Amino acid sequence: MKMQIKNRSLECGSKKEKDVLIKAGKVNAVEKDRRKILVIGQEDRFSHGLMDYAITLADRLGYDLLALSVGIPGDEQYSQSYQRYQDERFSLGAIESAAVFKQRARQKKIVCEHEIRFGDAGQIVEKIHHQIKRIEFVVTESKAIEETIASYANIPVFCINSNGQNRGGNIMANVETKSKKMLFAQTVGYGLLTVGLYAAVFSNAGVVMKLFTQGGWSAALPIATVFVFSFAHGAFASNLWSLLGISARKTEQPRVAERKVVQPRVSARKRPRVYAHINNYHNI
Amino acid sequence: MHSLVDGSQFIDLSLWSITFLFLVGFVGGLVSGFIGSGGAFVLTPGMMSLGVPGTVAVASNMCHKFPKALVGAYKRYKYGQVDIKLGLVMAASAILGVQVGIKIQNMILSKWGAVGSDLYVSLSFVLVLVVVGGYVFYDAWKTAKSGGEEKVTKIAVWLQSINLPPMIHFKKANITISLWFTIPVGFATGLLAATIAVGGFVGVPGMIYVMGVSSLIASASELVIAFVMGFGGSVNWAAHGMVDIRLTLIILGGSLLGVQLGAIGTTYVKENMIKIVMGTIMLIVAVSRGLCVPKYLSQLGLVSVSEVTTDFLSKVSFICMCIALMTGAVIILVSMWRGTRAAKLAESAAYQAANA
Repeated sequence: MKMQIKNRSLECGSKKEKDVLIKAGKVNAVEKDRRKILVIGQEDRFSHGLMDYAITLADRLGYDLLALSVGIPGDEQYSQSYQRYQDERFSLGAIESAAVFKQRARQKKIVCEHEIRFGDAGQIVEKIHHQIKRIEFVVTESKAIEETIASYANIPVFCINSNGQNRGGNIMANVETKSKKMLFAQTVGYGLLTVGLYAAVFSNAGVVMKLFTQGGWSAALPIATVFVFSFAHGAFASNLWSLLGISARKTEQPRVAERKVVQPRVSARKRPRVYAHINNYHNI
Repeated sequence: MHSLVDGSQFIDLSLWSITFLFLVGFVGGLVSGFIGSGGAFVLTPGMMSLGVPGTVAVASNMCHKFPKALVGAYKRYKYGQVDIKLGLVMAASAILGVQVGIKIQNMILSKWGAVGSDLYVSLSFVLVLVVVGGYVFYDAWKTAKSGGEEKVTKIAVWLQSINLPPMIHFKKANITISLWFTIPVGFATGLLAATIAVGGFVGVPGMIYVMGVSSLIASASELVIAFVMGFGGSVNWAAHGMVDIRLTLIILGGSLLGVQLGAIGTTYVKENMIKIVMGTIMLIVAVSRGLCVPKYLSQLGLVSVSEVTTDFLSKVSFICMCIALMTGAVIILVSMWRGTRAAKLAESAAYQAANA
């Protein structure tokens, strides 16, 4: 993951200066040169977590926002009118979600533009990155998009976990402390249950072995036993790893085979050619 | 149905044997949680080396396998990696494969005896593991060289494009394929499970290369197959009174810790890592089983090898199996540690950028 972003000095000055510029109608000229954060939503939606994160980041860095909704091109097995209908439905959803995003950004006096594109996220970002030179990095909440971009465009990508609604220090700390206590209690509880079960079996090993190896219907005994043990010991093991800080990497979207669909290679960009225009009928 | 073993056939457990079984259970669980199968090939001979009769070792191993697969499948289902439908469809045809596999085994047993059966098992091990394991390893190496992004094989794309009803769509795996192409893969998985006890060595590569499922989904769905087959097998063995519940519970103690760690590990590594681990283990196990072949050939009177040499080769073979399992575990733990470190660095970079 390309995450190396150096702290940059805020180029656009304070909010007061920004207000003056807006009033003076000079904002457009300035905005052209302002650095931007490209924010890519999940399908046609921008989650609250993603919006909050992007706006906070843009506010602190003094950047603009460019919201991008990437739609999947219509499946060719459907009719063109149905494909158009799907595209329109996607666009309407994206515009609606982006309106909320823009409004939130406006409250912080951050310029936020929105674009809708259809196709492969990686290729689209690469194109936009070439068209709009001042995109500094990409923020997304989809692991799949993050990896696609990483394979196509040479631009830093942040993949955020928008599940965490509270990002602030104290609240987060309290929640963690509380859940850690709970986790500890659960681990101890399941651990004691597991130890008890093992002790019960091994202290009566003779009787257990005699009963369990009779064959026939007594087959239910070892099967039931391993189910009970896998519940108690499985829960203990799960809590133990969590308590030791070993837990699964949180991703918004599981890495499934969708990325394995053979993707068309990025077509080589056309080189500009020199034409000599003689008249309407002759181009050299 | 009556018990086929008397109490004297169950071994006395020492601290050493308990520790050994727990550790092998843990490492086997770790590998199973990561690649969907494995561990059984060390546990059964491992138990036999402690003096456990072969059938009891197989039965006790199988009885620990299905709850382990259940816990692993549940864990990986929570990470969105399991295609239950795929697992169940494959398991249905795998059951058929197991029945055929048992019939072949019995046929060989009645014709050439126990040594012939052992030779057949070893040769199957060597043949399947060298061919499949070699290809998996080659593909993993090729993918790693080209950036680590997996590609669907041409054969899978071609099979998916054939509209031969009934077509089945597997939502999580994101593939649509004819049922007729899933049956041979499932059948081969069952056949191998009945022969060498590790069906996943064919099942997972089959799902990846023949059906076009990603390594992550294939290895996770293999746990569903392992659960179904393990459950059926365990009920059968338990009905004959073969399961030594003490051995099962000791191995389960280690493997439930390992399987969850392996499942967690899959969320930190690139999918290709599953192939690397699987290919490596398969090739080392192939060498290990290959070392047993002279012993069986000599017992059948086909070649003459001294007893000292065969004993030595048997010991080296067992050590090789342990090395295979340990190598897999080390690769998993190292790649997991690297993945965790990279994720932590990324998080701190994002935090710093947000607070800049």
